[in-house]
Amino acid sequence: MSVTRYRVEEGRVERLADCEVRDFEMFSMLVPPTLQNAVLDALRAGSIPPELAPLFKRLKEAEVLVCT
Amino acid sequence: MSFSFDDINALRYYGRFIKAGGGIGEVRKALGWSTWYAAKWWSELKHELGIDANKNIFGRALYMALRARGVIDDEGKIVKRVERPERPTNPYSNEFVELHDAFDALGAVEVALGRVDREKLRVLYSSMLAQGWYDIMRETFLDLMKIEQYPKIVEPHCKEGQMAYAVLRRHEPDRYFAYDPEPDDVEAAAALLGIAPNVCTDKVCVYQTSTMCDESSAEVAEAFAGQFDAALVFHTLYWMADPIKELACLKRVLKPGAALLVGQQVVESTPGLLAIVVSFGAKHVFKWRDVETTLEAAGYKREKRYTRYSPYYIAIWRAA
Repeated sequence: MSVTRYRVEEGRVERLADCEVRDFEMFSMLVPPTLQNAVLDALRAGSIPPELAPLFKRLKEAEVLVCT
Repeated sequence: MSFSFDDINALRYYGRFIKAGGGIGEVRKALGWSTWYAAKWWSELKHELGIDANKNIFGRALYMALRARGVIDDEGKIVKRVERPERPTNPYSNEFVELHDAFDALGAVEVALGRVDREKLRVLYSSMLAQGWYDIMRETFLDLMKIEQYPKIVEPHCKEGQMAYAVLRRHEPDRYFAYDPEPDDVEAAAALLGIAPNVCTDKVCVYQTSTMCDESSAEVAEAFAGQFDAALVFHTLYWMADPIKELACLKRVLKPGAALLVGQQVVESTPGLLAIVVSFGAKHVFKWRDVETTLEAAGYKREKRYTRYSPYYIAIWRAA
């Protein structure tokens, strides 16, 4: 971020704690297949791209995803 | 293959989205699935709920969208058979259909009766906003609106902040003020943008308020930016409790002649998608003409209309 202007950092990623999909049935039902792959890739990589951060938040709230 | 006036405008102004979707043929297949699913869900509602099928907003969205296409008559009887389209092979067009598949698995009747947990609907809504086709839809809209020309932008009903993120990824506005009634969405949006919610001291602010008609909220917005050059209303008109009142109040924080950049799904666009979003909590269903009368009544003047309904209503209006 510069002093006078704001711009989101595109490469910014949130580090993930030890997370796993607890409810695969709900995960498969509520996250369309192509997006499932993106979520699973993020879990494997241990980091969340910003675009997926709101979805991760919702998945945790619904206890589909559990992080320790 | 025939093209309507709106199809030609969509090709002219919304080419990037159509190219990403695999061209007009693939996009039409995807839109065909939206209509096919809408007809399926309406049949299920009619079968289970009879004359009460359109007594909830989900059913009303299906009724209005299918009625506009001549698929059902005034009584809701199906009068035009909707053939199941070929599945699109393009990944973005297919993703759009996958959203409909996922919603279908929840059960249209269960949704209409309010028996599906809010949390499940929130996950699916969040999924939709994170899908590739939606991202390209957002990006193409921002291209068309030339968002980079506006230094001070306000965004009502910013939801989870994906539109703000898309703007700030390409543009460095002097001030960006996003607001939403849901504290949970404000928190998600602020997290996505890497800022604290309700702190309006830097260049970007995500603020929790139900309306800009609230004097203290308008004061926060004005103290933050003075007057805004543009308001970004991208598929959010139907989330406003009272759109005319909200837009009229919004006008008070806009510069005279400021731009209102409008993208709005309407009943003539994608019937299944419209019903899905309404089930997520949107409050209204508009025909494209309703959008224009709403904006006129709120004190705005149309500068340029790009499309009426295909793929959705797109226009620039000015604070008169």
